[in-house]
Amino acid sequence: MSALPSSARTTASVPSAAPKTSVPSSTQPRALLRITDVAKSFGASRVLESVSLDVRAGETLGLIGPNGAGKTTLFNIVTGFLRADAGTVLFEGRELGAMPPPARARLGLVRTFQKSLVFPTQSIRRNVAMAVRAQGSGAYRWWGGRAAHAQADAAAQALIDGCALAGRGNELVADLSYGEQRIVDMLIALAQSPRVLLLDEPTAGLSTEEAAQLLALVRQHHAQTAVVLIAHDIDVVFRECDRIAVLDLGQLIAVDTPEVIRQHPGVRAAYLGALAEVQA
Amino acid sequence: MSTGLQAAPLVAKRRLGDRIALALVSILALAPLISGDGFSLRFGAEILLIGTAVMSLNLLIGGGGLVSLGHAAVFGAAGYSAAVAAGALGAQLPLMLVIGIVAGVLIAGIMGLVTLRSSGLFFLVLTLVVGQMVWELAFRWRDVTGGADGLRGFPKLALGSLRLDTPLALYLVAAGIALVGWMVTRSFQQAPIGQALAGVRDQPIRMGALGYQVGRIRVSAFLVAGAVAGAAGAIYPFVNQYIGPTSVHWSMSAALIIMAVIGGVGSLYGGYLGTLVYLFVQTEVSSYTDRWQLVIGLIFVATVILMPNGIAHWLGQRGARGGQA
Repeated sequence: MSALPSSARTTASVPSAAPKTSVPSSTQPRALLRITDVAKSFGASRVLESVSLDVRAGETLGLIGPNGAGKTTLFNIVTGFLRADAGTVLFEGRELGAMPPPARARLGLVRTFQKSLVFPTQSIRRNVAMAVRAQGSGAYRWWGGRAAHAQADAAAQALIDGCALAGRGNELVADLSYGEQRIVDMLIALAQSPRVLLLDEPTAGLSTEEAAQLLALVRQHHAQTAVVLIAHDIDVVFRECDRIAVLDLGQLIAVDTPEVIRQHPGVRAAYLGALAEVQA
Repeated sequence: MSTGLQAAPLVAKRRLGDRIALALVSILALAPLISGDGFSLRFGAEILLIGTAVMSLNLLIGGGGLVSLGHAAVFGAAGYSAAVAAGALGAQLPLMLVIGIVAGVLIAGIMGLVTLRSSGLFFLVLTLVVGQMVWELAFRWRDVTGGADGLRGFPKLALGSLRLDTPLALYLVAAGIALVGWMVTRSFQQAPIGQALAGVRDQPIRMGALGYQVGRIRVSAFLVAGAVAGAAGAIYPFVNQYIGPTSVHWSMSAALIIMAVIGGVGSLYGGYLGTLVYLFVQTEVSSYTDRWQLVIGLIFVATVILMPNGIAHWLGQRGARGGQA
């Protein structure tokens, strides 16, 4: 199901020669994550076609496009849950190749999922501590659990105390509202000490207030990490992101600042214009 | 009510259930010692040994969501290995335990590796297949295993010059194995690896995204479950004075799962309670009719309807209501 009417999809054959950015290359921050000519097909269906994209240290990059544009598939390829048919993914200059998801996560390539993947039978603190322990050497320890738990719990508590769930670390996650579970989901991702944080529709289904809480949490930790944000809420993307990449039918049709993207004829035709027409 | 009081009522109930179940298991474990007759002691030893195997299976089912239909192969292979080794090397307790643990770890490790990337129905079928391969070996390798007749008449269990073939000695050995097995399983469950196993049960995809190697966690659980079941299995032939191919058959694995469900999936003590109910019905009802499995079936259905989380968790709920009143 697409967020756009089918007529919008048929207008997607726009020039792909959108300017990458208006900032001179010599002043650009270095690319933390470099995706080059990535392609992926499922049977006869081409989901991604030669997508190239840089994610720079410290920036928030929005990734938008109609449903089925290939946004989540790109996340899955970057995080190792899918293998690309062609192209390369470089993280801090190192090609990731066939590296499995756990190894990528330990490098700092961290993601959330469209669905909130939390541990419902455990407390908020234990949920976050699970992520903390994964970063250390004691994740698979058989003995001496008490000391390992105490360390991880303390680190988890510090994260919890800095958000809207402060003081509620003992509560079972199954007892939380959907919005609160999304915050726990985000805390788990932040506890992984991400270098690049890939957020797949983190605000979907949340109220305006809950979405604001969640995004404030991301901003709080923004200085240490690059963020790639998939969201269907265009207002959120244009407000939160330094740059926006637009995917349509598996092709990257533009990457630029929100101001430029807003005026980009190809993007307007493929996405924003149609959306504006729908809203009108 | 404060948030502290609201926090984790399910966990509190489970802990209470575990405590009540522990008290019950302790009382029941002491009963044969008080009665002191040979039958009770041997029967008690059998419950403790099979209960330990069920507890180790519970680590996989309750801890990791890994419903294995081949756990009897782990338990029985350890029994066969110990019985065969006793004939050649003598039945010294430490040697029997080492052989049983090695056999248990080996079979469980193979099972863990074979099922590394499977889940649900495929996992169940793969464990069944590996288990049935062990049964085939026990059934066909007549020269070593005795085939359909099984093995009996092997040397008596001993520790140095101390004979351990009396019902009391065998009961104490079984109780020691149950206690150490419980400590090892509980320690694993509470350690970071045990928490990670629970994470794999609830959210395997997220665990991969967190940086955990899901396969390593699952194989670790299999190895620990194999070691504990192997230790119990090694002593089982000496208590039963016989080991046969039914002990490695898939129907025995199914019986272990039924015992785990009756006692309470996820409760380490529940395994012993489930085993007690199963073996008691088997022993008592089979003296009146061959259709004792019908009674077991009815008890299983009643448990699933009336106590869906098993006896141990039901006890926790009763205790919690009593505490509130």
